[in-house]
Amino acid sequence: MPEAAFALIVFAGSVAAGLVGALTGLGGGVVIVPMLTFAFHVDFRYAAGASIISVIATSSAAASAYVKEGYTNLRIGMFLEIATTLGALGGALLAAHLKTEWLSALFGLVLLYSAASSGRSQAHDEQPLAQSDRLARRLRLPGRFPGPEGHPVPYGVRRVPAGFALMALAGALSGLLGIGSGAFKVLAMDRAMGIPFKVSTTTSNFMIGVTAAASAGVYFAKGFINPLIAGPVMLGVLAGATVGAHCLVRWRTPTLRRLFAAVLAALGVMMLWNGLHPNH
Amino acid sequence: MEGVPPSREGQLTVLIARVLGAGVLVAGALVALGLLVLLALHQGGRANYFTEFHPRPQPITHGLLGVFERDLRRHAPRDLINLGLVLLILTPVVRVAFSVVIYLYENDRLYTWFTIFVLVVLLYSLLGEGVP
Repeated sequence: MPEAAFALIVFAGSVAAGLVGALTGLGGGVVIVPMLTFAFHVDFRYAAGASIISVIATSSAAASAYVKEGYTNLRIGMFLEIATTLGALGGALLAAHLKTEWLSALFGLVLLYSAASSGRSQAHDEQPLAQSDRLARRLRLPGRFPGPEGHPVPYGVRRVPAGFALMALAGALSGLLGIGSGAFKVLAMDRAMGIPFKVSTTTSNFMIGVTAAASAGVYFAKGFINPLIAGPVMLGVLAGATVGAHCLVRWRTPTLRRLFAAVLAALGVMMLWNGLHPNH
Repeated sequence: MEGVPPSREGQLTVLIARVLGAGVLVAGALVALGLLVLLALHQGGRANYFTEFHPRPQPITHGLLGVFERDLRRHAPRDLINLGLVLLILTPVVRVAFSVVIYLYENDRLYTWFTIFVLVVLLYSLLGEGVP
């Protein structure tokens, strides 16, 4: 296949991946890597390199919107970026030395987890934490978010060390697999640190670009980022995600979400299988 | 719904994020230009070698400066795309650098150090791994 034709087909596929990523709320990365490895038989490392580029593009393009809404907690984001960037740096350095089958299998597990977590509703955070840990108070992490009637609702933060450790893990997964690992960032903030769900998701989105940049520097130096794949993927995912965010809000129905979650789970099983049986 | 007016650092961050959004557009335009040149040149290179990893390690400065160094006609598409990609990777780094300035300006020593640390990690990733 000529390079130009390859680039065009990858672009078209990336538009679709960006759409699905926006509709599931998981971002393009978890869709791009299976698409490139299964449909185009691209080596896992090139796929991860292209994916991390798409992650930076979508998160940097949308960064101002997240902060403006008033849910993003900048201090929590800045503090936890210490963990995610260190994790991403370590993960990216490790990725260069691991067998691609192992990375593929790990990606399969992450896809399965992401598919399961994308079905979760936001309904469970009626009661924000009233009390904060001493460490969280010293770091000035507790904040306020816009309540249902526009009144600011204060919330507490707890278990900072556990959240910090989980964030380092999320960063490592981002560096190993070339994904934004938003689902794991939300896990760390929402479950471990008791931060309200909406604050967790918007702050996670705010952090994803910085985390991905820590991986991307290493990827670029190691040759994971090939311009003929990463270029069309970046443009395609940006286009798909923009359309998904602006025009298709009403498509984001529970049925469609569940359908996409099922597709992701199937891809996860395939990647896991491929990783464990590399010769089939 | 704008229940909590963004803090001063929040307002500044929105401003910076808008500027960086424009940076993403410039990066995207460079990548698009590179792809268009690729289509226009009809280069005969075959793309199926992507099924195997052939590392071509390169310092990130080559991504930035390659455009000015090499035979333009032969390398123009890749160099334009690479330039766009490197600009894109730099946008979050610039955001963190601005955060350092904001916290410094607000006399918030703790968060000045936190953001400086993140900036150092990012710069190490970008430059420290530059030499294969």
